[in-house]
Amino acid sequence: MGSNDVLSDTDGSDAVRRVSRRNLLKRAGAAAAFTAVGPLVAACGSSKSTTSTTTGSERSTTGTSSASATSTAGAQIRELLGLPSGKAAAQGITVPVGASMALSGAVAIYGHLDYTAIKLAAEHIKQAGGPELHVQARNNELANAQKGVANAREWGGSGVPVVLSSGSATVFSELPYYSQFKMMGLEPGGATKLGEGKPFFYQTRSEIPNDQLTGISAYLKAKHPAFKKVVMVGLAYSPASDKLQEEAVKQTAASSGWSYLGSFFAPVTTTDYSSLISQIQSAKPDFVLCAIYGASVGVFLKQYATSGLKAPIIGFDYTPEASKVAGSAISGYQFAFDYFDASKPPNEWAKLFVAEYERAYGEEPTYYSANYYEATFLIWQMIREIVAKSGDPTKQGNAYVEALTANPKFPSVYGSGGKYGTKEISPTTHSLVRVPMVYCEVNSEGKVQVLATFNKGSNSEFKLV
Amino acid sequence: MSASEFFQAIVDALVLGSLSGMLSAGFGLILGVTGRFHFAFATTFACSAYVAIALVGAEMPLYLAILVGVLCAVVLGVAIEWLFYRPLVRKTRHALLGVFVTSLGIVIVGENVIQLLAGSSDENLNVGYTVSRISFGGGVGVTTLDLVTFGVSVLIIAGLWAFIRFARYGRAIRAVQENPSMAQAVGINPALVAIVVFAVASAISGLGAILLTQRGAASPSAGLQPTLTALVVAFLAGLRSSPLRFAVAAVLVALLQQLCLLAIGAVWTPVLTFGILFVYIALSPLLNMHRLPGMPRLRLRPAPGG
Repeated sequence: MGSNDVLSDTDGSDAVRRVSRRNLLKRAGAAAAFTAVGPLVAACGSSKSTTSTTTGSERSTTGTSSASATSTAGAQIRELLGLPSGKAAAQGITVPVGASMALSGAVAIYGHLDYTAIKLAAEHIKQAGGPELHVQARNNELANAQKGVANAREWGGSGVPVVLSSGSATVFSELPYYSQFKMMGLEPGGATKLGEGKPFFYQTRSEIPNDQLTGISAYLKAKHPAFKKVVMVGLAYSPASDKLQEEAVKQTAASSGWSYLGSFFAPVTTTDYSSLISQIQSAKPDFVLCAIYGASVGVFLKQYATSGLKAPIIGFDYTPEASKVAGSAISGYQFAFDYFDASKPPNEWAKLFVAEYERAYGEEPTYYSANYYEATFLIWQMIREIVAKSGDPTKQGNAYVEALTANPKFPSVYGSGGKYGTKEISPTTHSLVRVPMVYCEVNSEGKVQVLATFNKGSNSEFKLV
Repeated sequence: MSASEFFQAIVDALVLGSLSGMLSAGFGLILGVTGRFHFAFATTFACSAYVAIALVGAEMPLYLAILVGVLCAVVLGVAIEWLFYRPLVRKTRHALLGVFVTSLGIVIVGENVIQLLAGSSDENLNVGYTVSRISFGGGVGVTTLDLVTFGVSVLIIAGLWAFIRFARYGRAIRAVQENPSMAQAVGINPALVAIVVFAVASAISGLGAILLTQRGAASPSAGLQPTLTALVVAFLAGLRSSPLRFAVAAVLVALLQQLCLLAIGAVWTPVLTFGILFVYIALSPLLNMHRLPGMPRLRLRPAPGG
């Protein structure tokens, strides 16, 4: 202790003070109080499961994951999807699979939803007589480009042939490495037009917001023809994505006969939407398109509800977290996208998936979980294609792209009726050709009511429910 | 930008600035008196909100849960000072960096512990009354939640100012802030003063967390942004300034942020916040050389032990 240490005690030597019983007891008391906070905090939150919390930000899983699926699930899936067994199913092969997702930070909920589904799918695939997928999950904090680059380099260098990514392949930072190392990247989380046609990169969900706007336009024409004036609000993720969304809304407004009054963005880190609400108030729109995602939707709705504004909010996203945060302010919120309704699974495979997910994790799967679950099965489909052509699915190269090009249709937990739905990827755009989507409204209890169904690129398939 | 948007921006800046000013006063109190870069302010912030939410979930009355949440923030803040910072300051000659790194470590650990215990999804905290809007005309108005936020923040800032100016421990804080050696010579225990400072500032962080959570939602990392803004405001106001000056600086920063958002765009708002700090620090040597009366001097006292 130096003489200039202004915070030192005024009596006694350091040595005596450090070992004294009184001092020890004091510290033990403080430590106990610190520890006592834990159980209190633990009582918080409805989510019973936890997410990654390591600073190393990496996890890996193979067949024996904590998902511990029931032994009959694999057999049921093999029967439902009509899958082969033995060598044709790539049994006995171990394939490394990269997984880039938010495992820490404010958006770790997405990583939780994605990773739980991938683990369950890997377990189901193994039980169904398929290969062992060695999933190497790495943290990308959803949109941290530096993390994305580090992850892609690591997988590229260690020979990983296929990656399940998120955050539009961590805002495109991973894409150059997919090409360099010839490893396929699948994006089941957030697809956009910006990702179309990129080498080795394929998007397995609807493109936000272009695909959703088709259904929104059709619904409003049918149910609210008097709605003419529109504004869009969103979070400023990046200039490119902001412009993309703005242009999509402008184009839809022009083709729908709406008057486009402007797009207003708030900083991505904000929890205060007063400026957006003020701008909406000045613009006086008939309805508001909401390009805010995840739980932030709930925060926005909570603040919007107290503003006295009545223009309905129509979003491109909905998660139970949004409802939890918004409380009663969620009432009347409408959204349109490829939403997965776990309370009404649309086909037999979806029913099995929901039951298995609930059993493994004690909560209903969201659309993120559904997307990553079926995308993991798409990997197995490509592995089977490669094996059938005597290729090696454990190696990087063109094999995965060729397998997907040869068979661009894959089974989906979306799509109504029958054993399973089907999705198809365009070999040109690398995005889905068709995506079954819904237009919904949420009531004050957070219950979702489907108001209409529609499909990507097909106005004729729009149906009011 | 329309007239109504401009006047609404001023109203919003007053509300958000008062809340930010309150948090900055707490953060600045620790930095100004003890010299600790206490970024774990974000951890006490989050702890308070999550404890209150957990207790409300366990059927405890809202205001009692809030009180316990704030007390937990106090206990955690004091524990951090006692268990981590003080031993470090005693053992290290140049403790400024050590405390800074330790506090960042506590933030990371705290965030992850909350995620482990409570999950990573955002959490809601009820307000406890009906939120309605009061219109001033011309599209300008406030909500009752805004009024409560503003009122509580102003009360805390005024209370802190009065405490430091008139209370016995407040005067001791000022004495340590001005001249620690002399304060020690006249019988003031600086270690005890540091504990009081951490307790008061942690209570402020806890209360700020409750107000912000009621406006939005709690998340494990919810305290980071307010802490960074508090850092900017603390530097702008001057580290040894009165809480009233913190409040004025916070309102000005909030007003600039609101106007930037409306006039330039959301992407530039964070740039503006830290741009102000950068320009201020870059110009401070010049400002100190040609200082006008009343202009704060940028002074960072060496950390204890350093």
